[in-house]
Amino acid sequence: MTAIESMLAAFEDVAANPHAQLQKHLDAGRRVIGVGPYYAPEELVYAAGAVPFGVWGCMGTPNEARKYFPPFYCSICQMTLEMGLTGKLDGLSGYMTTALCDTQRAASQNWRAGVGNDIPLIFVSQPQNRTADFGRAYVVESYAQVAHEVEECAHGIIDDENLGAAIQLYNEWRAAMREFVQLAGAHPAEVGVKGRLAVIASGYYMDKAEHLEKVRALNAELAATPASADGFKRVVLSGIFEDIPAITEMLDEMGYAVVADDLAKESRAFAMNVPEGEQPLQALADAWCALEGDSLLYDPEKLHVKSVVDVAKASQAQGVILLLAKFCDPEEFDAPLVKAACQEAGIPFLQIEIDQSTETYEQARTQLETFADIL
Amino acid sequence: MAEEKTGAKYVLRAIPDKCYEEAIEAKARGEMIGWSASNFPQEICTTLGIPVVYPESQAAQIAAKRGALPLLEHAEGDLGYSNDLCAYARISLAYADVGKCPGGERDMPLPDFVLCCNNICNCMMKWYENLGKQLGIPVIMIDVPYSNDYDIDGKRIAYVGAQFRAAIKQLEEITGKTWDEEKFQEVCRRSSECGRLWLEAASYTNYKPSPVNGFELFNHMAVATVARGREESVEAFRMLIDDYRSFVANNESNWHAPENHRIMFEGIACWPYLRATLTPLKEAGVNTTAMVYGPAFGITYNTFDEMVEAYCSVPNAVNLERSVELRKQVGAAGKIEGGLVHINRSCKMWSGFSPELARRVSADLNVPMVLFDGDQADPRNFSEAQYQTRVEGLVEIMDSARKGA
Repeated sequence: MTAIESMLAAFEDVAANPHAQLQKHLDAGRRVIGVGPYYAPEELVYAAGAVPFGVWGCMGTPNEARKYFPPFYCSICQMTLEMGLTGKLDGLSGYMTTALCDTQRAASQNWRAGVGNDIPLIFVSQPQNRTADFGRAYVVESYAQVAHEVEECAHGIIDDENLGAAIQLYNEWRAAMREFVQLAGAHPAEVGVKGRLAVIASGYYMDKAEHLEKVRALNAELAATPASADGFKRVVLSGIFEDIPAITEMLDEMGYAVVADDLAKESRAFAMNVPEGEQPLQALADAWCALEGDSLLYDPEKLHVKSVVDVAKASQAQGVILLLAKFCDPEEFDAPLVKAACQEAGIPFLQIEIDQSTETYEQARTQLETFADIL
Repeated sequence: MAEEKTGAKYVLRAIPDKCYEEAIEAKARGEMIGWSASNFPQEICTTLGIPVVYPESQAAQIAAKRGALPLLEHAEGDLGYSNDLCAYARISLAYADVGKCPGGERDMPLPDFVLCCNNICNCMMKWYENLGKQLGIPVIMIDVPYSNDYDIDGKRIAYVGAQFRAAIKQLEEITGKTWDEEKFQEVCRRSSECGRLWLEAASYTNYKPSPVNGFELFNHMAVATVARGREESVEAFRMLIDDYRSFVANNESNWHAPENHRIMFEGIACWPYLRATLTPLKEAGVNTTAMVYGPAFGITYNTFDEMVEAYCSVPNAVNLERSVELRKQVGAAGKIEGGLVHINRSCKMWSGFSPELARRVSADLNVPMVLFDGDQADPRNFSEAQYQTRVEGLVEIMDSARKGA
């Protein structure tokens, strides 16, 4: 086993066993706070001394959650609630979520109704009018309230010093993840789609400092290895998330290389950079206000649509695969525009509908095979 | 002899028509007109004298007149939108593309700008972004963050209030019209009075027996939606109240059926199936004496901050507990014995916690609540057979409860 293989195996072990990771944190005496989508200020959790633990649903069927949600809702929210209701998140001291779409709004209320005080909800309210002073003022005040709730759940106090340190760590981590995404795109022979996903997914479960150290080590190995993209079909993945094992396997099997992505759980999350050197809470607010070009945000210029094309061009991708999360309004509104923009730019485009409760993806296999032929 | 068409219901019916006609005439004169979300503060445009029309109301009317399907198919086919998206949005985006209704159900001029407010749902934000992009026109957006707390807090009032003022400035710049604070105060006074009168009219369903067929409120709510700031709306609602008052005084009702049971209809109407949803109720003698959908447009306030708070407190912007409380209040006032809950495929925001809301209302008021599947505007998402079965089930439970009492 090469050094890279050995490193990837460790990431894959974590990504495949999030519950074991949770238990490891708890056994170490750490308090753990769940963090859901999207762009939550999880630096606050870290500053308070707790471990932020990503909760984006899981593969499975919502049974208990169906008592709360009708069927036509995003699987991430349904399966997250299912996990909360069936004890799979026991041990969390809180669950932080934002409310950037209608399903998240309803999910927050269903969480309080179903899971209740067993895992208190930390509700993060973020403004959509982000560029005006009043938007910034809103998010500063909102994050101050969130900080207080995090302190209660984490049993820790957040101050400028520990929050400043958390911001610095997260900025370093996001930079390392951006570098990894580039390196993985150049080295598909060493880091397949599955391996790439494992490195990213494990970051949601590990202590960020530990993950940063391991990602940096992997990046160093990859940087010292000659590029290996020849012969692969270089694509950009767009959408919310990609963690569907059947899809991952197909992409690897058919020789696809993910040279870049426009996924909310991946590069869109790593794109954020929190200004350092200013009052930390205000800096977190500034980072939120600076976000743009995202389906989940108010985006009247539809910069998100343009950004997909830009990412594809910058990464010299041969095509764009939109993994459209079923019942995701924000992505479904942007999807026809993204498709049209790719077509106008001469970039082959494929749309595959995914959700965490679908068991078979045979139609997707045919679509991916045909797409591979085109590329 | 033909009925004289001067009663309140005819006056009310004519007001939205007049609003749309005025917008068409204004557009023809070269004036700028807007498309507005139903819960964007109409006080702003009324004060500025800017004609606006309402895509949600338009979509509802198109659907009620059975004209939705060709537009939905255009949105899904030519424009490529998923049929999982809100049917109002799909109808509206298709209409913006083709510029006319298939059967002339409710034509309106294309806009020079759009006015969005996401207090009722965040879907609105993406829908209006896309309208703006598709038509190449500005989007003015008032963002009302969803409240997880029961009360609307100070930071929301400050943020949303600042956006109201920013929207005024944007509209002044776009249209060249000038803000008149005195006129604004007058518009606010009239709008709030209109809201109060609409709520008063709707409250007549609380009389037992009800002088009102509750489904009639679905018809009259268009005025509260599109014409809250007009003097003629105030007068029309006064006429409606007079009608209802005289019904009570004379022991009459426009519910021309027995009132064996009284229920709450929870959710947006199934506009393509208004008759199909009413008929089984009428046949079983079940009148709708409580709802929050129609009265939701009865927005009342005394000050600017109260106006902001009112727009932050519309159903869908408030948390589960407050939503439950609202239903309990209207349910208790309407003396309901049960409820029908519309699980609306088009509205993720409204239906997202409906099952829990129904359980809580049912437990607290000790009445059965029955869920049915439907859609506010997509005729493909409703089954008359399922609906009838659910109504029969509800009636059986209400009958049993009465016998056991």
